[in-house]
Amino acid sequence: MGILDYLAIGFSTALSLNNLLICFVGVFVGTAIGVLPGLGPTATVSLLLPLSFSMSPTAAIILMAGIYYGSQYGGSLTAILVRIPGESSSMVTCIDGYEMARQGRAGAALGMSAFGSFIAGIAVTAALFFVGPALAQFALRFGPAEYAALVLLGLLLVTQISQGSRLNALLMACVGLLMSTVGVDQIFGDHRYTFGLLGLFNGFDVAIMAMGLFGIAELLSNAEGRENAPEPIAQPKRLVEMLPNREDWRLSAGPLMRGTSLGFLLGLLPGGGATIASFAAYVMERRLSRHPEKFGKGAIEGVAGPESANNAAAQSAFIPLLSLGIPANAVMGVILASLLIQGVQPGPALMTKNPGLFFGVIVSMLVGNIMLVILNVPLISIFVQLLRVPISILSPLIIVFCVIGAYSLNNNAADVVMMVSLGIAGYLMRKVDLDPAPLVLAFVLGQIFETSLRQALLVGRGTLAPFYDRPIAAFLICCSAAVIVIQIASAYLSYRRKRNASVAVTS
Amino acid sequence: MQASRIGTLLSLVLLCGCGVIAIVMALQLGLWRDGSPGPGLFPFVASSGIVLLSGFSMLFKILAPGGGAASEEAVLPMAGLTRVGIYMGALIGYAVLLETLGFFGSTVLGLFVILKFAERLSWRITVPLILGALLFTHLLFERGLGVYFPKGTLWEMFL
Repeated sequence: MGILDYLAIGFSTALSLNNLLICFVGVFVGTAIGVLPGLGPTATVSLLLPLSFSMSPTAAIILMAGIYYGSQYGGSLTAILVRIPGESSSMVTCIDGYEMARQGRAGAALGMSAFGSFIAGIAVTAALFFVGPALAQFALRFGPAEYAALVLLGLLLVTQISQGSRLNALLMACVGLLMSTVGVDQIFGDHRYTFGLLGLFNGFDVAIMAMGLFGIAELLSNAEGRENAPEPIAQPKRLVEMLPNREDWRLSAGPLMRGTSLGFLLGLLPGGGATIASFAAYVMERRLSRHPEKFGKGAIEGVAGPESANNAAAQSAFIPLLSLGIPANAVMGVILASLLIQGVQPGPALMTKNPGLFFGVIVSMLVGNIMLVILNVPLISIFVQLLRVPISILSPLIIVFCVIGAYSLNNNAADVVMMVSLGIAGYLMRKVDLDPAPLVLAFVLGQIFETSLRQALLVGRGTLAPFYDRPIAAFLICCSAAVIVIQIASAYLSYRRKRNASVAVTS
Repeated sequence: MQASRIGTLLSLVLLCGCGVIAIVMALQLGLWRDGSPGPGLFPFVASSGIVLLSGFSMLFKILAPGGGAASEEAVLPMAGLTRVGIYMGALIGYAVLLETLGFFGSTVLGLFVILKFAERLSWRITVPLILGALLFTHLLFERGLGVYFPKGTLWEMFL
């Protein structure tokens, strides 16, 4: 089959009435949760996980993908109008976007954010059609050693961008790997860490884990610190007010292209994602600008670059997931879990075995971006109204949905108890600087990692030969070693710097 | 993310302890069996990582400049902590009483405790919100999506 055949399959899948509706629901919910500070895409995707089991795998991914990239659009609305980033990836948009709004140019900032995200989304979707199959073709050379090495590298890179200490992020990844071993061993049938409890024979349920560690923990964190949302700056009422002028477009053309390219590349990397892409794009634009002093004072380049980068990264992150079966970040980890539960194994064979899913999801992103720009331009005032719904009313209602979601998985109240326990554990973990995201990601990857490692050791007759005999595996292992060395060196330098500063203060 | 130093150290000690227990259990499972990697190999690798990394993390925390001072402790607002405490209690009660009181009974109780005591909302908001939530979940999940809600063993005894 050629690319045109795949394109036809993709369009026929994505444009079915059911998938169109699902895509609309996804981008709408995504924009809404993007607007609401405190409820991120990881938590929302986790909470909707049980609901996705009643859908086809394609529809489930279209829904979750729509939520993820929709939240990138929504997050910028509040960043520009209220100076509260709805998502972490919109943090940098607060700087220049809010300044533009204060100067009476909210319309141009919102318009550039929406159109910039749209242009990036369309460009990346087109690129995915070529990169996805090429990567899948390349991944056919992957054996167990390559997979084990790739998962190791992915986990190490994810810990680099984790909140808080990197050492603790790596520690959490190890906890996730250990938790993934709970249950009956698939080869020998031994019970591992089940302590005779029937509920642990099948191991931990990833949906319960994600809902607890992300959903419930986030609600508890929100309950601790409540701030009243400030009044938004007056938003534009008419469509024409949101259209950037010719000068805006001239200034933004370069940042849009660079942001899209950078976001696309960072999204492909394990550990990359929308947040890191938006920060990197902002730094790059400020360095490249002839007037860096304008940044922070309402430069439209400071909105165009990061906004295109975060949307590009949110979409290109689907490629390693679908082509290699390796999630690039926590949201992708939850989506991978949803696919695995539905019996779909993402990887190089997915494109040929299930082209409807692979290309349907990519085309749905094209459709979703069109929906988003239509939704975002005229409906901004409606989304901003969401900020007026008090979190004190939203939180208890979300808890009810979590309980229904957890119970409906197996019609078992023990799952609800487990979710609540993990939620409390997740809240306490945040309090002591332990980020749950690497834990969940490692948990999802744990089974692939263990199976690949055991197969590779079997092939090597107990030696690590497959890891240095095979060039791709050896390269990936070298990359992992480089990441560890850089991590240790930067930790040591940071320690030295702090110590010198402390000595200077004391003396 | 502000971390309490003592809390962090305690959690690292706890993780280290769990790691040691996991290593012992992994060794009992066997690292190599019948010429192939045994069921304990991967858990051994993961739990060794936990012990090593939590050890290093503890060491860095203790040796960190200014680490000995208690100034790092984050002062948390009492009102916020009380609210979190009520939320936690309500969540535990909600989960534990789900089988006994049934979905609707435990939802009424859980929502009531959160809305009235944690969020301190008035009766005029609390009651319609609870009733609205019950109606919405019944129509959407039970009727619309066919989700099974537990009826509650307590009611089954009497009815």
